Amino acid sequence: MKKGRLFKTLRAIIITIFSVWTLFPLYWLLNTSLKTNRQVLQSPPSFFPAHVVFSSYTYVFSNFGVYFVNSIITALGSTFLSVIVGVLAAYSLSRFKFPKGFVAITSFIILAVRMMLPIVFIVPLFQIFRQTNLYNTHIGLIFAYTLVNMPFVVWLMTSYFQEIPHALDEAALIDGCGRLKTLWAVIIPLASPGIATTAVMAMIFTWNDLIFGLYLTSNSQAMTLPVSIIGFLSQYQTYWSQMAAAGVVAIVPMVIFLLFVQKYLVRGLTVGGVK
Amino acid sequence: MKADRWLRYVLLVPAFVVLLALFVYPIIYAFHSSLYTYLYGRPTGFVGFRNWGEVFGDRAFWLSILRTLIYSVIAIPIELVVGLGLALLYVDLSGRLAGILRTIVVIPFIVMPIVTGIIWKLIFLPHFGVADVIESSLGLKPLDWLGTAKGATASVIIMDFWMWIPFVFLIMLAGLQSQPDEPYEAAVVDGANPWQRFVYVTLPLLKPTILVAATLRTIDAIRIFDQVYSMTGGGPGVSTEFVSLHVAQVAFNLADFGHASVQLFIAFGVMLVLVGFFYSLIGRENV
Repeated sequence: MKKGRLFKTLRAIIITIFSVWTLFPLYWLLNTSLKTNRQVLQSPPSFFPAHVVFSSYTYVFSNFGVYFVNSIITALGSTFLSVIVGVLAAYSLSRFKFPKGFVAITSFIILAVRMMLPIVFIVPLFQIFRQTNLYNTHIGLIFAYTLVNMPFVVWLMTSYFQEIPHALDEAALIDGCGRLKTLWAVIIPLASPGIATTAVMAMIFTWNDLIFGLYLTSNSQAMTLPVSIIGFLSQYQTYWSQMAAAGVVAIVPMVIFLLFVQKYLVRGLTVGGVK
Repeated sequence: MKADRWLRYVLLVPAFVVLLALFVYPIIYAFHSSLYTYLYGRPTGFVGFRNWGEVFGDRAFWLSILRTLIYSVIAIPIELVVGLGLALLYVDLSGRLAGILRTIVVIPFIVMPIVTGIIWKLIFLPHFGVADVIESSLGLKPLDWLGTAKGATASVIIMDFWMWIPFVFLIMLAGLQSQPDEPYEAAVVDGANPWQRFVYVTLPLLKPTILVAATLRTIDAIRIFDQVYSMTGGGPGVSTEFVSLHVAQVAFNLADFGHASVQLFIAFGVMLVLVGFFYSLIGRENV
């Protein structure tokens, strides 16, 4: 189908505007982080730093390091746990017959957890964690994030497993593999793109989330990076440059991560969008 | 196989332990809490359903739900239309440019939401922000974005466009790319013009995708928290205190777990009704 030149020009203009609109805010964050606070508080603001200073980054690295590590521990721990638990459950749901209604109820619960407002879990979990000494610990936070990540893994992996023909399982079983060996040696390698997709989604969600860490941790023992940034924000309201630098440091790992896993991320985002 | 009879449940055990310990038990716990009064975070007495009655008459709570709905009703339709429009423009673009654009589009999704809040706060800052520069270069009087109720709500919605239009775009694009060619060829043969092809072929075929996008957006819109928390903190006053922020305020600042627990159940109920509504629409489409 031929498209006119007018259409192509118009399309180029719109796409350019959209790209600038998407990228400019990130540039503005970077710009702010490379200025001094005195330069930030200039009216009108300058669109590039008069002279670049890295002092805000030095400040961030010396003050936020421990929270950065906490975030890494929490994100890896929760991703690992939810993928293992979720994959086992998804394999079972995709391969075996269950009593009537069992699958329906299970999928409803899983969907309900996925849809629920996080605050619904957090208020009771806060009270329970306080009584069980899980409050303000890595393990408590990992459990809490596993609750939100695992349903997503089960939901996505069930549909992935269903696409792998049952004949493969049967062939492996006839060759003398047990069920678990079949799952480990035959099915999981075939489903690895799906597992990668769910792991990427879980990792990004955990790294980026504020609310669980905000109410389930209280100090550097387990507090995650976003919570510490929020704490900084409320304490030093005019330290714009340091705040921006902390923001850059918080998003850079995921941006780098994106370069490697973009394929999986786009799939994870759009799955379910297409029947 | 005989072993399978047990194995099917054994494989599900870890998942059920997680759900029981972290979902079912907390919900029961919350229901239990909803029947008690609290002072400084400690239960002070059983009051039956008094908290429930009080929350049903609590204006501040219902206003926070109304605020969330108003924001959703304004933001989501615009996001759907713009996202679809961009996907239509983009769908037969290919090559290097298409790849770069696809990377750009994913970025707002992976930026930490609280950082998104900080970025837009910097942009809307009075005197020192970009919004002021744009307004004065257009000859307008700079608005007080973050200092007024309407301005703050508008800022939240604009930030929402930045975060979520790319997401809608990706879903719509995936939907468009999976459409079969035949109906289009038939429409061309029948002499349909581009607009007719859009209305009578693309839209009907894309309806399930649009409904899914609307559902996912609605779920996330009701849950909005992080980016608002860092951008406005719910203010000025309570003008951007959406439902999650309000419940968090009652639970953690007032340490009133009794009333907060009731609010949790109501918020979830509202969510279920909305999602049920969308799913019934989607279900009808598929039958």
